[in-house]
Amino acid sequence: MIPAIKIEQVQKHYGALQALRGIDLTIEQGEFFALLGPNGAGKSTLINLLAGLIKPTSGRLAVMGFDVQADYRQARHALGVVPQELVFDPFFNVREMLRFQAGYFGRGPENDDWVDEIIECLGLADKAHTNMRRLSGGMKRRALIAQALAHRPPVIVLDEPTAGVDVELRQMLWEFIKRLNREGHTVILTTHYLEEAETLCSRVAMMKQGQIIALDTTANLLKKIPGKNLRLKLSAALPESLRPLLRHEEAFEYMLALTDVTQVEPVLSQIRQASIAVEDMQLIEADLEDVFVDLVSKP
Amino acid sequence: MIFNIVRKELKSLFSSPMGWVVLALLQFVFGTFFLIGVDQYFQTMSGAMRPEQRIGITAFVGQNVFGIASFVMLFAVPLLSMRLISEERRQQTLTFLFSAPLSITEVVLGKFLGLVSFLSIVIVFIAAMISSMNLWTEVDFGYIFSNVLGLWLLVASFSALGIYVSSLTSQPVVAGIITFIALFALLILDHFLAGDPTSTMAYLSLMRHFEPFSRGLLDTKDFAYFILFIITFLTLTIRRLDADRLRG
Ligand SMILES: Nc1ncnc2c1ncn2[C@@H]1O[C@H](COP(=O)(O)OP(=O)(O)OP(=O)(O)O)[C@@H](O)[C@H]1O
Ligand SMILES: [Mg+2]
Repeated sequence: MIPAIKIEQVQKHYGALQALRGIDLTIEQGEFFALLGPNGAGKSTLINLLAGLIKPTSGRLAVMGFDVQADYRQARHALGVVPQELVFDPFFNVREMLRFQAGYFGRGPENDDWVDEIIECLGLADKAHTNMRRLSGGMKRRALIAQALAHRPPVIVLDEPTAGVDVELRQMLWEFIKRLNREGHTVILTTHYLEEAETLCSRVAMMKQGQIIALDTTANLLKKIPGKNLRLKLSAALPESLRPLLRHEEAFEYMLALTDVTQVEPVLSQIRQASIAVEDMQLIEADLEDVFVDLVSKP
Repeated sequence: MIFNIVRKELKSLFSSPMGWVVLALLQFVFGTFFLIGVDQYFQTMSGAMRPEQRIGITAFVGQNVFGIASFVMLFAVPLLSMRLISEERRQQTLTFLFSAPLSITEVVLGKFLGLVSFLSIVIVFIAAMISSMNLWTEVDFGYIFSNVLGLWLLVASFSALGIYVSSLTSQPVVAGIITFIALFALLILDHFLAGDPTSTMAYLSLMRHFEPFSRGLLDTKDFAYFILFIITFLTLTIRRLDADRLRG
């Protein structure tokens, strides 16, 4: 099967700044894929390259087998991008905007049913005839998501779709996106809420300074790091012998990384021997955030 | 799909106060000059002149209206063209156009045709106004046609320059002012160089090429000049937007 997204050796330089330093990535059709990374890692740059908003310094990108430059019409037909910034045309209401957007993709009145369906699914029904200017931030975000879907693209890219969106919509949104994914759409998202990526996405790429530093299924990434986190609140400083396990500290609160539950007992006995009192203790399952912090903080 | 951009451009012109204000103001000015022209014609022609000195009412009134039209458009076009690209740049909505399956050429042409269609409405009104004299007298339709064509080419050239300037900045007002200054300079170029009408600089003057049309003369050279002018600035706009995409 033709991959939904194929990125080969893509570099993008902004003057002296190397925003992307050789990205290789293949995303299969039907995947639910997460692109993670700290601010400035180059996620949006990669997405803008896919959308054809900027041109790569070198390398090739293809959407559903269509090169984004040579076959840009087909490639763009196949792709719907929700931009990170809240951008909108101030002269139109939501429905007009969606219909114009679909019109750019050569969809006429026969597409109106679909437009009404996404308006409904994104909870914009009572705002369909409100001018874009008069929507709240979260509603503008919904309108932008609707806009990316207006031409029914098989590949959907969401650049931080849940920034500034309330809990209710976030759930509604994910239900909707999951449904689209079940119906065969490929979904790619970036987010800074790692638990979202963990619960939704089957595969994850982590980027840092323009490179992919990890690319694997969510399950495999979680297996890579020590299984449990032990949070301790102590009456005094942590004994030196336990320092190697330390992941994170704050005043007398410590986060220790353990590979196994059986390690808990030895740790506690060492603390007892140093005659330090344990004021609070918590055992936490490691999550994607730990993987992320682990990888990103490595030099 | 170009048609979609044209429609959207027209729609945003009509959903902003600017479009309506400009349209109303232009109609008001042209209507006034038309009435004054008709009035003056009867005053001038009533008896005092010998028959062979008389000129047709079409030319008399037409001079009045088309003369002012080319001048008023100098103000109107920058007001309308300044937003075309700079506003989208400021609002960052160009991304919607650029991520649609449209080439930059189509985007630029769509916007250009949108503005020209809007201005064509004004020109059609002028033509209708002058032709309406046909109800009570003989009208020289050849004269009207030549003037309308000339005015239309002039306005399209203004628009092409306007869209180019608009693509250079993200400040609509700056784009408007620069367009106005540039158009003004191009219009009066031959005034400065009155001594040497054959110089190449004078040849660039838009007015020089508009003038034959307004006398009812159609010359392919003038026609070609306007077309070349339009193509040049539209091409510059396309290249400018393309360069943006490459850089970032
Ligand atoms: N138009 C531009 N001109 C110059 N540099 C840019 C431009 N756009 C992005 N950059 C730089 O490229 C790098 C990657 O930016 P990018 O927006 O892709 O990051 P990101 O991963 O999306 O970050 P965030 O999580 O904050 O959205 C950054 O260092 C940024 O400063
Ligand atoms: Mg980003």
